[in-house]
Amino acid sequence: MNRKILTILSFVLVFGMLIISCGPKAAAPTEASAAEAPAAEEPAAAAPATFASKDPTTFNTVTIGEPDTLDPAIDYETAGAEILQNVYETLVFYKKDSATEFVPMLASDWTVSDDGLTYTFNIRQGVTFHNGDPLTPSDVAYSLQRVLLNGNTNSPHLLLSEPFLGIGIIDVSMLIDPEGNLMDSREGMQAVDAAQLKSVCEKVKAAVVADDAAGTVTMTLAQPYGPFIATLAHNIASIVDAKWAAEQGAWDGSCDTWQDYYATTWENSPIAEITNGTGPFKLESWDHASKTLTLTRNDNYWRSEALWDGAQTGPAKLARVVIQGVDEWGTRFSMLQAGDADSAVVPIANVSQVDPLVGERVDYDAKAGAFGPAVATETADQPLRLFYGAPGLFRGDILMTEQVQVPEGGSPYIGSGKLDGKGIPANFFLDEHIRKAFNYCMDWDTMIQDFYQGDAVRTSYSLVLPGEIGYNPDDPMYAYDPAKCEEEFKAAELVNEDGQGVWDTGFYFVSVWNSGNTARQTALTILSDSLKKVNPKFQMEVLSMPWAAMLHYYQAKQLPMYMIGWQEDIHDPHNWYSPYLVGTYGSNFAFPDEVAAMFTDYVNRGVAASDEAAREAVYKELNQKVYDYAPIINGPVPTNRHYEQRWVNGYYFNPLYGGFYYYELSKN
Amino acid sequence: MTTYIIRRILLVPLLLLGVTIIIFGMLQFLQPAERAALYIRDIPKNPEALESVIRTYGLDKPIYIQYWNWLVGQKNPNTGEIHGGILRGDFGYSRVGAEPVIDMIKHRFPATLELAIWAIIPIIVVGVWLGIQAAINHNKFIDQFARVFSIIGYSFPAFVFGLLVLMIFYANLKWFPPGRLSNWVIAEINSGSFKTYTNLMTIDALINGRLDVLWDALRHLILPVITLSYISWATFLRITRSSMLETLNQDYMTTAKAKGISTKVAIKKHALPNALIPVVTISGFTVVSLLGGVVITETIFNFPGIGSAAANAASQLDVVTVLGFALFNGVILILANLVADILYALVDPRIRLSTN
Repeated sequence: MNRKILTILSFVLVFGMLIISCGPKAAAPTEASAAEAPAAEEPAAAAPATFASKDPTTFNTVTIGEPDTLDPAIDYETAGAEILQNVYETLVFYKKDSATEFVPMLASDWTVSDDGLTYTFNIRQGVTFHNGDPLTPSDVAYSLQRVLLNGNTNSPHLLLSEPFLGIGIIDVSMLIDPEGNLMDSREGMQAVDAAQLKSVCEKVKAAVVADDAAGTVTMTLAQPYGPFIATLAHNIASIVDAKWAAEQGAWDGSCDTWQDYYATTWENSPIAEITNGTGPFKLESWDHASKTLTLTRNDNYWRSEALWDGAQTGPAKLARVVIQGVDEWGTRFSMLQAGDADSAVVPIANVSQVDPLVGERVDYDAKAGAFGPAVATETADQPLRLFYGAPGLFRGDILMTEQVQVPEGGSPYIGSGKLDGKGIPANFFLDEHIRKAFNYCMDWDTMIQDFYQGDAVRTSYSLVLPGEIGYNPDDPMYAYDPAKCEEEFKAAELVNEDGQGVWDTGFYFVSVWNSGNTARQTALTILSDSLKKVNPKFQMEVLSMPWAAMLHYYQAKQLPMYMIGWQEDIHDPHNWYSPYLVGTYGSNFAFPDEVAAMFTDYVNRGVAASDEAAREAVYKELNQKVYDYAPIINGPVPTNRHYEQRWVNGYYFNPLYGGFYYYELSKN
Repeated sequence: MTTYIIRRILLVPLLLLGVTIIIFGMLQFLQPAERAALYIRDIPKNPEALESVIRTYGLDKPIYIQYWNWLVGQKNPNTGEIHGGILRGDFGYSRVGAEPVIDMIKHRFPATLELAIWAIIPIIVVGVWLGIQAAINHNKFIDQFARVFSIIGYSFPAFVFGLLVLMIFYANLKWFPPGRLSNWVIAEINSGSFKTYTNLMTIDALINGRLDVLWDALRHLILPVITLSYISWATFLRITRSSMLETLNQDYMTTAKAKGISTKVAIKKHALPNALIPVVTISGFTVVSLLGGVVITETIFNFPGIGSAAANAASQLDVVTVLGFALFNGVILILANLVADILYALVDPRIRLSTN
C-alpha cells in the first residue's frame, strides 16, 4: 500500500514539475488578456512602434537550407538568388515592388533600335567592385558572354541563350550540334575542331560588344525578344569582375580556351563560394556546417541618387546580415519568439502557431495591386508584423506522362501495364478524355480551404499568371465536377483487348510527390479520393519519394503522374509557356510529335512577336489549344505571408526577389 | 591481460575489412553514374561523357578490382592524379555538402565530439548515481522517484523533450540559444581574432583565454546535453540499479557485513566494482551512438554535427555521403568497442584471467 502511494506521489510530483515548467509558455496569453479591453475597439492604425531590437545593425534571417552556389552564371534557386541580388548587381533592376517595371542599375540608361534587335547600354561611371576594381563595359560583356559560353542545362542560362543565340537554341553547344548531343559534355566540346569552337565563341562575343572608351555595351539579339529587359534584371545577368574571376580560375575571356570552362557546374565553379560584386553587401563568410551566410555592408557603395521615390541612397543602413538555415520548424519558431530572428520562414501548416504573436498586420489590396496601411490586430502588444495576401509567382501543378517509359521487367508505377483494373497501359494519359476527366475530378477548392487555409487563388486554365500578357480571367478552367469527370471517363477512347474501356475496367497506378512537400501530398490525396468516389474501381496510389529520386524518374518519363511546381524567373508569359510546353517540363510529357511541334510553334511566335498586341493575339490562340488539350491539372496560386519583427522597417514584397533586398531594410 | 589486449587489437583489421566489404557491397546497388561520385566531383549528365568517366575509373570492371580501387584510389590516365581511395582518406564527393565527404566529416565531427564529451559526463555520473541510490534505498521513496523520473525521460521522444526545453529555456526565458555559437563568436573566428586549434569550442576558448567565448559555447551546449542526458538516464539507472541489487544480495556482501564492515564501505569496496561491469558495456554503446551523431537532438538544436548532416544526405539520396558516414561510424564503433573491451578487462579480473 505504502509503495503504491509513493509511486502515485512520484508521478504527481514529476508531472507537476513538467506542467510548472511549461508555465512561462502559458504566461504569454495571460499578458495578452490584459490587453483584451482595447481589442474590443475597431482595429486602429498601428501605434508608433515601441519595439526595439537588441542589435539594430544586424539583420537575422532564419530560413530553410542553404544556397547551391554563388556563381551567378549557374545558380538557379532562391537561397542563392537572395545572396546574389544583395552582393552582385545587374544592368537593370525591378522598380521597388513591381515585377514588370525596371529602373537602371549598373546601366545609367539604354536605347533600343527600331527593329528591336540592338540594345545599347551606357554603363554607369564611378562604380567599383568590392575588391576596389572599377566597373568597366568589358566586365559587363564578359559576364554575359561567360553565361552564354558556360551553358549547363541546370542553370538558368536559357534565359539569355534564347534572345542572343536564337529561339530553340537552349545551349551554346547546339550551335555545333543542333541535336544537342554535346550538351553538358565538356569532353565532347573539347574534342570539337578548334576553328569551329573559335567561330562559335566569336559569334557570342559579337552579340555582346563592349566599348570601354565610349562607356557602352551593345547587344545584338538573334530576333526581337519581348522580355529582354526583364531577363537582364534576373540574377543570371549579374555583372562580375572579369579580371578577378579569371584570377580565381574562371574563364579567362579567351576564345581559344572557352571549351575548357564549358558546362561548369555549381560543384566545380571557382567562384561558387566567393563573391566580388558591386552590390550594397559583401559576402563575409559561408559556413556549411552551421548553414550560415554572413554579409557585411559595402561602405563604398556607389548609389547617390534614389532609384525610385523614397529609395535608399549611400551605404546600407544595416551593417551585417546573417542568414541561417534552420530546417527544424520548432527551432525557427523559438528563434522568432526569442527575438533572435528578425524574420523566419513559416510553413503554411504552422501559421496558426505564429498568428497569435502578430500585433500588426498589412493586408494586400488585390484591386490596388499594393499593400494597404498597417493595422493593429486584436493582440496589438504582440511583437510580430504580418504582410498578408500578396499573390506569389508560383504554382504547383499535377503533371501526366503521355507515354510512360517502362524499364525491363515492368514498372511498379503503372501496375500490370494493362487496362485490366490492376494497372494502366503506358499510353494511358495520351487519351485526351482521360486527361480531362482527371481535371474535372480534382477538387482544388477543398485544397485551398483545408491546406492553404484560404491563402491561394485559382486562375483560369491558361498556363500564365494573372497580370501577364495572354492571361484572361474569363478564359475557361476545369472546375471540380464529378458528373463531367464520369462523362469524360466514359468517353475515353482507350480500350483493352476485350474492348472494355477504362470506366468498366477501372485502373491502378502510382502518383508521386517529393517527401516533405505536404502540399503536393494533400493535392494528390484529394484527387485519389475523389476518383474513388466517382468509381470505386479507380485506384490511384499516392507515394512519396525523395526529391532527387522523383527528379530522376520523371525525367526518365517513368512516372505516369507526379506533382511539381514552377516559380517564375521573369514575369513574362514566355517563362510559363516555354518550360511547360517545350523545355523543362514540356520535354517530359512525351507529347506526340505533331502536338509538340504545334506548341513549340506558338511558343516561338509568341516570344518573337514585336509588340504586346501581337503577342497577346498569339497567346490567346495558344490558351485555347492548351485548354482543349488539357496537358496538366493546374493548381492554385498561393498567396504570400511574410512575418517580421515589428522593429524591422522598409520591407516590401517583390515576387521576383529571391528572399530579401536588404539594402532597403533597417531596424529600430 | 596483455595477450587479451593484443588479441583484441589483432581483431580490429579483420573487423575493418568486414565493414569495408559490407559498405562496398551496398555501393554496388548504385548505378555506375552514382558511384562515380566516389572519385570525382561533377558527374556529367551527357551519356557519352558519363561513359568515359565510368571507363576512366573502372566502374565497369570486375567487383574485386573495383573494391581494390575503392580502397587505394584510381589514377586518371589523362591527368595522372589519383582519385578516391578510402585508405587515402578520400571517401568520395558529397553532393549535399558540396565538398569531399572526408572534409564534411572533419568540419562536423568536432561539434559532435564536443557534444558527446559534455553529454557523456552527466549521463554516466547522474545515471549511475541515481541507480545506486535507487538500489540502496530499494522500494523507498527515492527509489520510486528516481525510477518514475527516469522512465518519463526514457519514454519522451527526443524531439518532444528537446522542443519543450527549447520553448521554455530559449523562446520564453531566452537563456540557452540553439546553434553552436553566437553570431559574434562566428564573426570573431571569421575575422581571425579568435583562433581555433581543436575546433572543440570550449577547449579553444580556454586556449585563447576567452571566458566569454567559453560561456557562449556552454550556453549552446546546455540544452542538447540536458536532452541527451534525460533520455539516457533511465537506461543507466535501470542497469546500475538491477546489477547493484543483485550484487547486494550476494553471499559475499552478507559475509562482509557479518565481518563488521560498515554498509558504506561494503558497498564502495565490494558491491560497486562488481555492479559496474554492465555499466561499462552500456557506456561504450552510448559513447558510440553519441559519436555517430544524434540526429534528432542535433536537428532540433540546430547543432551542426554529423548526425544532422547524415540525415540530410539521406533525405537527398546522396548515398555516397551516407555510406561515407556509415564507414566512419563503423570505424568508430570498432575502436570504441576495443576500448570498452580493454576497460572490461581492467574492471573485471574474470575476463582477463579466463583469456590468459
